[in-house]
Amino acid sequence: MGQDSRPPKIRAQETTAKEILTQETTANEAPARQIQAPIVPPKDKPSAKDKTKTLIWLGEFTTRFSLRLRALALAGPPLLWLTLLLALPCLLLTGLAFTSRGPYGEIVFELTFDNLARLFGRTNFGWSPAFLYIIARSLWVALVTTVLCVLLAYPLTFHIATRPAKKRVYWLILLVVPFWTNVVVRAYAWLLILGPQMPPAQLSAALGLIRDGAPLYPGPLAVYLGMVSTFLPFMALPLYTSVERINWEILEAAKDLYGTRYMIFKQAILPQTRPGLAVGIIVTFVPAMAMFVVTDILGGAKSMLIGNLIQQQFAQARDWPFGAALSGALMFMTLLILAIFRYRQRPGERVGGGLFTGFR
Amino acid sequence: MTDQINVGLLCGGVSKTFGNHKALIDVSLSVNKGEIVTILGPSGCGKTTLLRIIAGLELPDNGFVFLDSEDITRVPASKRPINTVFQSYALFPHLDVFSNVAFGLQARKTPKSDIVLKVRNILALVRLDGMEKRFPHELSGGQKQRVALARALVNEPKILLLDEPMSALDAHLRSQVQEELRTIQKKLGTTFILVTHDQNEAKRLSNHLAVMHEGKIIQFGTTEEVFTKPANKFVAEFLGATNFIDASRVSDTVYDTHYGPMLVNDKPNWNNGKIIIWPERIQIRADAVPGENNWFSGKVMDRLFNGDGVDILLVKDSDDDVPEKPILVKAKPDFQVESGQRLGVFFPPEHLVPLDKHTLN
Repeated sequence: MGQDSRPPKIRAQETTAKEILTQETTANEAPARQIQAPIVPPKDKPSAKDKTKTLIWLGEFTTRFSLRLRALALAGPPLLWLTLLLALPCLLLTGLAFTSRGPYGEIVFELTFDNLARLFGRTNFGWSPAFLYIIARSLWVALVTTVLCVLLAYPLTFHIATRPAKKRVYWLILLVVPFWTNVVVRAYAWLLILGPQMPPAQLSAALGLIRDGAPLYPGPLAVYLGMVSTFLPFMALPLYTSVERINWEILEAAKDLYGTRYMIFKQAILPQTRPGLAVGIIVTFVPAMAMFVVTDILGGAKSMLIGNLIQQQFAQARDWPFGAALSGALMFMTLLILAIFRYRQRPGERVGGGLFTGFR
Repeated sequence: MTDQINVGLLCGGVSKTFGNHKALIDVSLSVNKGEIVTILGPSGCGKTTLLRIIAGLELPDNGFVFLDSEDITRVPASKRPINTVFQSYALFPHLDVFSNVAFGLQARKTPKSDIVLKVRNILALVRLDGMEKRFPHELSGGQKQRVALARALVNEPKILLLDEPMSALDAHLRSQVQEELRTIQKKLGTTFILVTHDQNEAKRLSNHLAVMHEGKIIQFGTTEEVFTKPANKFVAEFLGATNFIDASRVSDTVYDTHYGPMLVNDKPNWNNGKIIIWPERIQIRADAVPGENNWFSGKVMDRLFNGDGVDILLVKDSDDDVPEKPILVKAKPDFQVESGQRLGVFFPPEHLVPLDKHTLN
């Protein structure tokens, strides 16, 4: 912006002329940044009324007030939606955890920490870690599921990304198709496949691994089969977005520089796929921790996870306050994991774009 | 011919097909130790594929690659004593300069103290000392290129491959980097194989030159040979020749052309064909005798100042109405001539190069 092209309105406001000039130049260089950057007030503060009237350059002449109004208009509806239907219920649920259950399953509004104490193992017959054990098992199952998904997703996404562009679509469709089938239906399908008359069970029986005529469920094998098949697309799709954009020359450079397979993965593949991998791990681990359908159908009593427990408290036991305490624990763990993940993003590792590179 | 012992790399009968695209057709190339060899050609001529086959990043369908009389055709890239400077440099973005350069040494389990020493020496050679802690995104294009060069050279490869190394650099940086490359190559004595589509780069850097076209090497020779005597029209055009003269045989040594009869030292293998002459080889003479062999008196169509000299466009003055392609003559920058003026020039017989008719065009 040249001096002369400034409209007369600005030229008249000599008190804030300096501020406008500096804003103009920065806005011209990086208009997007100007929206987020806090505007540093000049030392002799103009009154609040002046502030709303001060023109700033942002691709057009506008005032801060109208910018805020615009932002509110854009962000308002979704914010309202999330507040009413997500934040508020979550808060209510957390509050519920500090009430107690009446004799008929009704909620007695009376501040108590009994539910938390129960969660941490207090019973009428002394201390028992049963619930903590279930939480730990949920974490473990989610962890194993995530690791298995990562191990399967890397070769899978590399396979897809190295196909000709036209064929990739079909592979991706194959990957997404299970999404269109309900989890319950898929879990029952596994029940069928692992049934006693089917080849897998019969082969296992022939090898003496299971009793003759027994199915392959319930048990960890069935649970992990169900979990991995449910969550593989969650892992593979975000990872694929990273793998698709890989700079293959860097892999070739690693090969050319005598890199071993391990070095190629660690120095050329992992840094380039980290954004997709991070998203994949989060969208796999977090829902895997709360999963109850698969374990309910394929798992049996020994595989009970926190998801099953919560569902039981709300549905069968009609103990909403304790269910709320368990849900609170789950929410707390989820947020903790997200926080750890965010903390782990180091500046040197931010390769390319991705959900978590723009966080700070 | 070249000494057998002196041959560092030998490719024979190398072919490669991608789908239905024949990238390389029966290509043979021999590279002497300690030389800079340039593979020159337009994009899509297969030069990068050839380089990748030498690097071991691509397996040829047919043919062999020998390094120091050892068959390395099926040796993977990670086991070849050959390193590459990639076109995009392909630096590891999450590693700093030191770790980037040390990568190859670490991969080969070099002792730590050796790594530090070698990396320091090579960074000094490419004038990047003090930059060890920088990350690639903090470097300029020229610096990135020097890191890529150092990263390859630190492994002391027998052959260094450079894939269009100047393509991402500014014009003023290019000539500087070319000089540096030559200096470094002389200092280390490493064999360099360079791929480029820039004939000036090829001219300035290489000892030997291979010109490629549609998957074949159509001329191989010393840089001087190729530039003075391009084998055919494609090579001549690619190297920037403009003066193509149609000629027909009169006697064994005399050929008739649009510009009068020409005495030719190199005997063409045809009766009707094309002769080229480089603009700087044409001599401007005041004592022109029209009608005699190799003398031509033309009308100046235009005079253009080009920085280091003057380009003069000459046409035959007799037929004004017929549009013709002018002859380009290069003169010294202080040479004064007006458009429309007549100018006598001499085509030295030894600089008239007949193009081979049986290869391309």
